[in-house]
Amino acid sequence: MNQPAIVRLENVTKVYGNKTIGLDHVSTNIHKGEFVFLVGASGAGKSTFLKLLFREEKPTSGKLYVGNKNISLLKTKELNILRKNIGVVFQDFRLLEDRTAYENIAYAMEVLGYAKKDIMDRVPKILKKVGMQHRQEHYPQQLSGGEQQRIAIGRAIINSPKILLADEPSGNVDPSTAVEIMDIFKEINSVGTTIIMATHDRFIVDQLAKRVIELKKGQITRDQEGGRYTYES
Amino acid sequence: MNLKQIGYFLKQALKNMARNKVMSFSTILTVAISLLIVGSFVVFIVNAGMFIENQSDKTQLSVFVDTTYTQEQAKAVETKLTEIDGVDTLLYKSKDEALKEMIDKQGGESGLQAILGEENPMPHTFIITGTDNTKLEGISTVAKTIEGVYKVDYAKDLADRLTSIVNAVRVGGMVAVGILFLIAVFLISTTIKLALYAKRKEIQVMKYVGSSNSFIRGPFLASGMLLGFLGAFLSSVILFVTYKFLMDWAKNVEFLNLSFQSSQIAMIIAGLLLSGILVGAVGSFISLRKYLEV
Ligand SMILES: Nc1ncnc2c1ncn2[C@@H]1O[C@H](COP(=O)(O)OP(=O)(O)OP(=O)(O)O)[C@@H](O)[C@H]1O
Ligand SMILES: [Mg+2]
Repeated sequence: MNQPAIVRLENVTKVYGNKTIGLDHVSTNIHKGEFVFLVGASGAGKSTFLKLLFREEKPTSGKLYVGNKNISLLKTKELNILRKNIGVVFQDFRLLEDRTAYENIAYAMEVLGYAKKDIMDRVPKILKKVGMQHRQEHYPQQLSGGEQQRIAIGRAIINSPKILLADEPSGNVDPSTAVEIMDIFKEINSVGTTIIMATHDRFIVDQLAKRVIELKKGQITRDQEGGRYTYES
Repeated sequence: MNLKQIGYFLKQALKNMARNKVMSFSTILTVAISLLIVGSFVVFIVNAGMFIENQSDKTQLSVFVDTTYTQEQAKAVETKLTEIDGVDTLLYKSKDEALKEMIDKQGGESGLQAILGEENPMPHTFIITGTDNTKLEGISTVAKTIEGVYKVDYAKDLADRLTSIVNAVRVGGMVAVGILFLIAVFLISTTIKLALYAKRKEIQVMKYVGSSNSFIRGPFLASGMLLGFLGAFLSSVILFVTYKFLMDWAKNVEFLNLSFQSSQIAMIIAGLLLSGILVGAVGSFISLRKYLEV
């Protein structure tokens, strides 16, 4: 690809406080509009990879660029801009229990200072996109895992981020729901949003046949376009 | 930061308060009590100062003659008094006049006369004014040496004694005020700490979506300032009512020479409200610094 990479890792190493290695000298490029699966055994460093990208963690060494900016060097204001441009879907959703589905999504706009009118305009569209318009008045406890997942995706894309990170979004749902959720991601990806997804879901990875980066003990052991979950003949 | 944002912060602050009513209420109450003590202290200092000034302004000296002295003997004392350097005017009040004045003050035909019968315990009195205030002290010293002078009352003596008392109160009060402010700041910072804890999930979401720091902090700063303001407001109301009541009473006590002064109480209340807001801001700032790493 000739386009400049939207995400670039140069020899990135992450060593946690207790000397555990999260990532070990990882270098790779991810381009705008790509759909990338991060696969690998538990503890391989998938979540660490994602956490470094929206700077929940800082690299111990190496350089990490997002949109041409070395994100280790960002000042608070620039960090806020980075995070506005990166949506994150967490494995445990992290929804606010005392707010309805609608309010959970609206909240992400509210705290960025959007006007009420804009919020009332946009939230229903997003609810529709994630197929939750009929459950908008429900609280997280009243929703299934898959439904909560949709709300979490809706919240992550409400501000039209350029990059969407997802940590095991199909981890807690049955296979048919997982397929539906993947359809939402495919649609988001189809309008140019870069998606980086950590997953254990063999079926999904094989079916979508996107780029696959496999990690093992913090190192990249495979990087393959149109890859499968496991490397076999 | 615009008006709309401040409105949003205030709304969030009110929600924070509603969410933790008991804690918010006790914080407001504690702030109110602290500031009420601070305010009362200021009112006392200001009025004591005015009272002292009034006393020092009086250019009069009262010289009391020995009660056993006759009118002729008193006249002799008068001559000597007029010779003292710095005496401007001298007013003679005889034993009888002094007694009559006393009885009048008690409300005319009271039991006092019956008790005294023929006795008159009042002394002959001379009221002296000096040519100027600085002379009074000298006159007082000389007058005390004259034979037959039993006592000299001098307003400045009283003023001096009061000044030393007020100064002592002032020093003690400053310390107390400092401690009370610290307590108020501590309480507000604790309340904000709890609010931060209650909203930790929201804060996490705000951070992930890239809310600006001021947007994350704003509602908590507003909470603290609102608590401080409400406490100050409550203390101001109580202070105003008490002040009004006391001054209505003081107005009728002649020697106090104090009255309700709207500009004085307005300044003190403005000071309290500002202090309340400031205490709130400092209290929440401390917790934000400590518990909200961004
Ligand atoms: N906050 C942390 N402190 C210390 N060690 C950590 C921390 N987070 C992760 N690790 C360690 O870093 C390594 C990589 O963890 P990571 O969470 O990235 O793995 P993963 O590939 O996401 O695993 P899983 O599939 O189980 O989610 C593991 O050994 C893990 O124990
Ligand atoms: Mg993980």
